[in-house]
Amino acid sequence: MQRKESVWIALAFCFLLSIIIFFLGKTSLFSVLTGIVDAVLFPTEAIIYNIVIASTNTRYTSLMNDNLQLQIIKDKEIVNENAALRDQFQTTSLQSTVLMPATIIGMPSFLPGVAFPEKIIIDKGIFDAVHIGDPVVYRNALLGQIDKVSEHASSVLLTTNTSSSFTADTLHTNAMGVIKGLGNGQMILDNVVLSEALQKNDTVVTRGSQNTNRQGLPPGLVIGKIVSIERNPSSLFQKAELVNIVDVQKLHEVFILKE
Amino acid sequence: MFIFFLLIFLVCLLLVQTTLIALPLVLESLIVVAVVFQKEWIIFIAFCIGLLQDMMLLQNLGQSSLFFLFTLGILFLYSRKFEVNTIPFVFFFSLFAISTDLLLFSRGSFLPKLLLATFTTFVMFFFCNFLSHFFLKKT
Repeated sequence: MQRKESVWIALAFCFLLSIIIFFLGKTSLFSVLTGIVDAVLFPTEAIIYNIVIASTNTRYTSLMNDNLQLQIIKDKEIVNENAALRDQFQTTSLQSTVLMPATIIGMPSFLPGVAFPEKIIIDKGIFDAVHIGDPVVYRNALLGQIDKVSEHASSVLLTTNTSSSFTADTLHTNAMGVIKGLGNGQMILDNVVLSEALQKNDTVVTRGSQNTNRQGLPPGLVIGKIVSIERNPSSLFQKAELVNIVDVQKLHEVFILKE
Repeated sequence: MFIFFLLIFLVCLLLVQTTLIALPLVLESLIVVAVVFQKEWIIFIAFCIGLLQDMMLLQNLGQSSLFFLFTLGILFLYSRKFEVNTIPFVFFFSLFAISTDLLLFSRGSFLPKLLLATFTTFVMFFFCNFLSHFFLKKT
C-alpha cells in the first residue's frame, strides 16, 4: 500500500514539474542546459549517423569492407566532407561566400525502406548565426528551410514535408505555382493556371520570397523535375508531380545559405 | 546499478531513435520496464529521458515527459486492479500508446511504423521478462 502511494506521489510530482518546464521552456530559461546537452550528444549523433549512412551507401561499401578500423572511417569522412565542399563551391549559380557547411546528425521521422525523412537535424545553431527560415541547399538544389533552432543544432523542414509550401516557377515555360509537400518524399506544383504551359522533365525553381533582411528563399534554387502533369479542363488550376533531384537519405553534408 | 545500466540503455535507444529510425523505442522500453518491474523509479527515469528526447529532437521541453508520464499513469492505474505482466495487456497497451505517440508526434507511414513498433515492444518484453527471471533466480 505504501509503495502504491509513493508511485502516485512520484507521478504527481514529475507531472507537475513537466508542466512547469513545458511552459517555461518556451522562454530561453533552459537554453544553457539545452546547450550543454546539445554539445555533448550531438557529436555522438553525428558519428552514429555518418557511420551508418556511409555503410548503407553503395559508393563506400567496398572501401568499408577493407577499412574496418575507426581511424580509416574517420579519414573517409574527411574525404567525403572535402568532396561535398568542393562540389558545392564549384556550383556557379550560388555565391560561395554565403554558404555555411553543416553536417546532418539526425533524421527523426526516417524509417529505412518505409518512411522518407520529413525533417533533418543539422549541427549548426544559434551560435553559428543560423536563423529560422534560412534555406538549406546541396549544390544548387533546395532541400528545405530551417524551422527550429537551438544553441548547437537546427531542424530543417524538407520541401517534401506536408507543412512545406512556397511559390515556384518552371524554368522553361516560366509557369508559376505553389510547391506543396505531400510527405513521404513527394511534392507537387499546385495552383498553376490552365493558361500556363507545363512540360514533363521541366525543372522547377524557387520564385524567391525574401524579406527586407534578405532572409527566406532566394530565387533560382532548383526544387525538382516534373514527372507527371494533371490537367483537368473543368478545374481552375492544373498541377504537376515533382521528383527531388537530390537523395536526402544519402547526404552527410548540406549547406545553409546565408545572406 | 540496474537503474544506471537501464539509463545508459535508454540513452543509447534515444540516440538510435533520434538519429536513424523513427520508431518510439524509448516509449516502448519504458512500457516494458514498467510492466515487468512496476517500481516508482521508472517514473523519474521517464521524466528525465523525456526531457532529453525533447532536447535532442528540438521540441518544446517537457512535452515528451508529459506524454510518458501520462502513459505510465494509465499503466499504473490499470495495474492496481488487474495483472499487467501478460502478453494480451502488453499487446493492447503498446498498440494504444504507440498509436497515440505516432498520431501526436510523427508524420506519415502510420501503419508500418505501428506494426514494427509493436513487434519490437514484444521482443523487448520477452527479453526483459527473461532478464528479470534470470536475476530473480540468481538472487
